[in-house]
Amino acid sequence: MEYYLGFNGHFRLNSWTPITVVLENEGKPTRAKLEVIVTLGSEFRQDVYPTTYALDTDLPHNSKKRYTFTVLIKTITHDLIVRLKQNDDILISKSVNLRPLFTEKKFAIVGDLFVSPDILSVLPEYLYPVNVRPAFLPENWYGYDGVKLLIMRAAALRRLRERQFQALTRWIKMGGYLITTGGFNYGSLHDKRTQHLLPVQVLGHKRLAELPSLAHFCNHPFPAIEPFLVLHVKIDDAKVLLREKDIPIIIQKNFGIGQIGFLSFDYNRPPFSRWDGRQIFWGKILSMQQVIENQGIVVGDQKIIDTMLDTMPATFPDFRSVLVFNGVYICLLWFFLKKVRDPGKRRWRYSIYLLVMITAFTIIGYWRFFYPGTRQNFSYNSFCQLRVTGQKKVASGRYIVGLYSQKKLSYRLNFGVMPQPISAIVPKRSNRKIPHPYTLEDNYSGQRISGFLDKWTHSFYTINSTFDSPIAGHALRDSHHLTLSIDNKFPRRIINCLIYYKKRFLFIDDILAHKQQTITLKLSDLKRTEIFYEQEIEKIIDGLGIKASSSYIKTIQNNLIKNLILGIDAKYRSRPDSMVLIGWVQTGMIQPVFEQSRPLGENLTLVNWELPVGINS
Amino acid sequence: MKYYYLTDDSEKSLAPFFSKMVLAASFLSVVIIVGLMFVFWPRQPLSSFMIAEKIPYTFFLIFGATLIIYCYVNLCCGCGDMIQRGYHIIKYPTDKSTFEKEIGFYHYGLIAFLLHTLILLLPFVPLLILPAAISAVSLITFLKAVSILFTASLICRLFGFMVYLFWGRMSTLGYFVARAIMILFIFGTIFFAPFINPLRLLYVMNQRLNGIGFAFVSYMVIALVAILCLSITNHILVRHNINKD
Repeated sequence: MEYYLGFNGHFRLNSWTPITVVLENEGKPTRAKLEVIVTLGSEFRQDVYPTTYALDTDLPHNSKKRYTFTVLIKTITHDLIVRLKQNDDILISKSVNLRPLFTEKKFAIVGDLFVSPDILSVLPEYLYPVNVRPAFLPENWYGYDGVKLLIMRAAALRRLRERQFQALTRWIKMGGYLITTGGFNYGSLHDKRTQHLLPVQVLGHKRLAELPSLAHFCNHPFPAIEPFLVLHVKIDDAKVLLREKDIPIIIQKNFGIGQIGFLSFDYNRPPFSRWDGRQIFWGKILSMQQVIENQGIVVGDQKIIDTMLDTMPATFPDFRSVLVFNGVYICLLWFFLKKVRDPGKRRWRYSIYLLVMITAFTIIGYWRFFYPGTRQNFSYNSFCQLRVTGQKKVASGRYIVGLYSQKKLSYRLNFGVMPQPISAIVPKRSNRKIPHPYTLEDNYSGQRISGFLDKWTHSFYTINSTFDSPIAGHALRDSHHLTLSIDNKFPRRIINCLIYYKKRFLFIDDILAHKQQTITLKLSDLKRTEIFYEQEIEKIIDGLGIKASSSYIKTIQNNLIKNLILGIDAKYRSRPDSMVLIGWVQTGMIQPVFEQSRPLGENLTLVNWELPVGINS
Repeated sequence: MKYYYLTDDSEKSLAPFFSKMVLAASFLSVVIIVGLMFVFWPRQPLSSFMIAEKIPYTFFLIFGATLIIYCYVNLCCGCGDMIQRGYHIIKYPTDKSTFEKEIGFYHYGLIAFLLHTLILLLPFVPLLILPAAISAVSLITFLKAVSILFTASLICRLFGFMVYLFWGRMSTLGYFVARAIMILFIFGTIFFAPFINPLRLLYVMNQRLNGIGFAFVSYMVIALVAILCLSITNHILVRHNINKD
């Protein structure tokens, strides 16, 4: 067993890190479970717990297979364990001391087999530069969690396995930054993968005696020792950052909310590789990355978890029903016992009535109180805060799922094929310091949590992820109207929608599912609405009809709306060009699927959409 | 004579099914349990228990209370405390022989006790469903708990009858011995024989601890053996009484 941790043996603390394990079997065919155990927490806080990441392996005789994990490492105090387990027998185990391997800096990765020897030394100092062979790049998009910049020649893209390429694509789409170049051999630029990321049209090589624009770009002299060979290319919908005599030198293209930069020269070859201004150049390149401001209004996890706990689907039988049930039962019992006491033939008839009455109440008690209780022995609820900015096709979100069990049980919770960075979270209100034992299993068919819950306990998992935005649209204003066009791709309507524009909150109609809608607001009506002040929150709560209901959505709204409204007002009060829409959808961004049981569950998504208002002339 | 226990409500029956006293005791027991249910009903929502990771003990408290009350009623029935207070009983301070004493135990007393213990349990069943729902015990556990109530009460009834056969209905010694044994069985066994303690078993069921199955089987085996021994003893004592007469 060999393992490759992180990026060339290094990892960033508190970031998701790839780990590749290569297993070689020269013995009999073996099926076993490959596990990576990461220990989290602190001895001082007494909250040390292991997180197990597992994969099923199938190793025929004389085989060599590669398996990859993406793990979250938060502490270096405890060793990381990689082991192969067959039932309860540990076939092989390796312990990794994490202390010499960690960094707190973000990575600048040169993902190539052949690089100039000193390229790592010229990358900005605030990053941790490493050279990684393409085969060891992450297979999950969140494996790039600790990566700030990836430098990779187009030819290396071809070396990636399909999963790696998909991971890379998604990472860039979600805000990653890739710098690539064609080099002398531009054949790789016509490759399907490169074309998917960067639709390059090659117009040929050009020989330039010097590159004054590059010196100007970096504000550092570039002596013309030898000529430059640059690739003249054209990329649609891309921005040319640097041009030399009509030949684009540095081109940048947006990909999702990330960027791909294209260098028309080979950074590994002279004269560039001998230039002493390279550190400035890479620093400049990094500064070209667009800052993603997609924070929106964020309600704290603990606040959400508290609300989720309070609104869990399982409840005790309603006390009033119990009161009525017992009262009626006592009255009828008293009546029939009185009748039964009197001797005579009617005694037997009333005895039978009494038995029937007791049987009926037993059945009613079972169906009304006991049976619903057995159905809610295991339940869950989920909440997603989705933040969409402008017309971007990518939304960021924080998804939390809470599991509640009144009995001892093991469960398998599947989150679908798309891998997600799942981690356990412990509510502060709980007496518990560590989560219940769980294993994150990852395989080609999907990702799931296998866990165990004791009686009357709970578990919470969180996913901090990015999604393809389920809403799209734009806002336009003319002298009389504000027009909002929305395409709701959610399977359900967005309800209780509230718009914040020009310091005012306004209710709008529900936005129907799978439908493009246009909502027009009269600016005169808007002006008639009072400017928001704190005392108006009660009015908004009344408008949502929160107080009248104890349903999941209403209780969550009741607990969160104040923070949301005040947060929006504080952030956007000084931004009259922006509009914010908050709405609620009774479905989850991620659909949890339970493999062994069907617990009672509720899902809710809060949409927080910040939209610039364009002016329609 | 064979079915007198069903029809007779004279002072010749030890605890007539339809006597005012038995019916009143039964009703009062149910009212007490309903009252206790309101007292022990969880004041906090279910989520509070979940946050604190605590189990609501409503099941144990209500089943425990039912066990004590139901066992006591059955003990009184077995001892003859629930006898119909007719002319003879009021007029003469001496004991009057009962059908249970005069007819072979297996043919009369045992059947009457089994039936009556079951009938006395029935009014509690609809109520007991509620604490079972609160504490989220399974249907199997609920049925096991009900069977514990039944066997414990039957033991108390058989023991009460044995005391009655030994010392008669009016004996002060018999009165105290019967109650002392009941207290010993329901509470005292926690200290020296916890595996036969019905309260402990109900607690374990509420807690859903491991090994409930084994504890339940152990208890049932011991309880059935106790019922068998008490039945044989009662049979011998009744036969002795018949032969003496």
